[in-house]
Amino acid sequence: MVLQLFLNGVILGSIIALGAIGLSLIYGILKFGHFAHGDLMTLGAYFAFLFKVQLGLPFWLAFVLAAALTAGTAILLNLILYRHLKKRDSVIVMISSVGAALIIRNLVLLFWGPQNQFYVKAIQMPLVLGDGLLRIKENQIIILVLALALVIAVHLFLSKTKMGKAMRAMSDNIDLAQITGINTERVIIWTWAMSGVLTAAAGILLAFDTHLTPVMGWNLLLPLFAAAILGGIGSPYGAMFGGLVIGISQEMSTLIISAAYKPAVAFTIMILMLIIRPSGLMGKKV
Amino acid sequence: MLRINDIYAGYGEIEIIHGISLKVEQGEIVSIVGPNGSGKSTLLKSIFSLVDIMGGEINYLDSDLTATATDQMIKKGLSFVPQTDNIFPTLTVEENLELGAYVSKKNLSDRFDLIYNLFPPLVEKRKKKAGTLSGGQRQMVAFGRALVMEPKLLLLDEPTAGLAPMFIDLILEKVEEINRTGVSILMVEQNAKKALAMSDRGYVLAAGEKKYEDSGQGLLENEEVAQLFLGG
Repeated sequence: MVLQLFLNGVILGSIIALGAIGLSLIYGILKFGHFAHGDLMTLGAYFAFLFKVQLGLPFWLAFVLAAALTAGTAILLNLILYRHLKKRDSVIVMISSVGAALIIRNLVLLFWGPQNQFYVKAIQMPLVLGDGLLRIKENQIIILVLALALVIAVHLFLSKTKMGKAMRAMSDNIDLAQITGINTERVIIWTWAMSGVLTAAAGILLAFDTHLTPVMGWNLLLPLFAAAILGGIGSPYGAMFGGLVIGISQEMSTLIISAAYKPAVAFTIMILMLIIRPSGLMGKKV
Repeated sequence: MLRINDIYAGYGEIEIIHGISLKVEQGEIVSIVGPNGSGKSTLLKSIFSLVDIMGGEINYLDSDLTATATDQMIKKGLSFVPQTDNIFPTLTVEENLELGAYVSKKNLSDRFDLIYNLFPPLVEKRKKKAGTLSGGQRQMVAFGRALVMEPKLLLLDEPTAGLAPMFIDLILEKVEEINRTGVSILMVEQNAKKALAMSDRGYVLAAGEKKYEDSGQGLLENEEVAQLFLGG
């Protein structure tokens, strides 16, 4: 039972981590909390639904197209909304992202309706390991592998490529980045693109594990923020770690308290963290 | 090579520099000294378009810098070491240097060796995060980042601020060493006497205006300057 909950937690945690990396990067580079991140996740999941179910494309192709389209949406949001407000105040940008969240959610409702949707309708029989100790469905294995692959890809991008290093540099110090000759506008576009891809992946994998609803991403926004803050907001590596901690604690908490309180667990961790160590586990000193 | 003509600059509505002119010739070390709040740092930042320019001209090798974006300066051979926050703390020493070469398409690893020769203590720290280094070593990283692209003119904002005494002399010696390789230097410095002693020329600012200009030695021997600005 404990082991099973741990496994479920790792699966949920890796999905949260994917979303939280983008959230953290955007905060690090643009210094605002992006409240439309959850709904961008939803949008990514529905884009994949469009390609996979409505147009009948193979899953991998639907995944790639949905990720690209979500990245495009994120860049577009920046272009028509955030970029103009950035010069004013980060609070204004944050509030405008709440507006963007509402617009995205209602567009999803408009195009795909309020009912639950599924990528695959058939019932999957889980693999049973160790005399019934652990049950894992095939799609959960795919989720874990894909999430791991993406996290490794993010790490390689941030640590090996010029653009990745520029991203980390800009997150450290924007003025110095400009002095050094980094074209910050380009870095911002790359950041949105990368966040868009990761966010879409998080949404698709979440829907793959359960189902699609227009509020799926919004409901996960709190754990996303909790993960980003726990890891130290602005630190992508912290967000990966924070995501796993939040996911595992949410699932394990059902050992002691009712599963209905799962979201409260993320909230409690976030508040405790803000009180005890606001800079997060891997964040810079405040 | 650099000519600032009657520049007015500040932040938003607040004007800090009220019409200052200065120049730097090829190969010179030029120091800007003066009390806190006299606008020394703002003047350096205005060259790099980091503050709002309200009037005047900044001419560098016959191009107008006031119309140049901050991220384009390095391509023109201009480099700047700010006073604080002048490194990328979560990046390694080596990554800091790599970013110094960001605008270059070539592999500049041989340039890194020159930097490591100039600042030997950095060699064994190259894989360490720059934020974990001591103050003096951080300053070496900041210099290194600014020097990778072989600038023609290096701007230094209080390079010795907050350093232990042994590092102050070391850093100033390095400034002279860098200058001997042909890099012109414009620096703001709190240690006014030491700075003027090594400078070809100097400017004394107070309250956003230029009060004196002379050779470094001339300013040191000027009794008025000594009494008002150099502490007797």
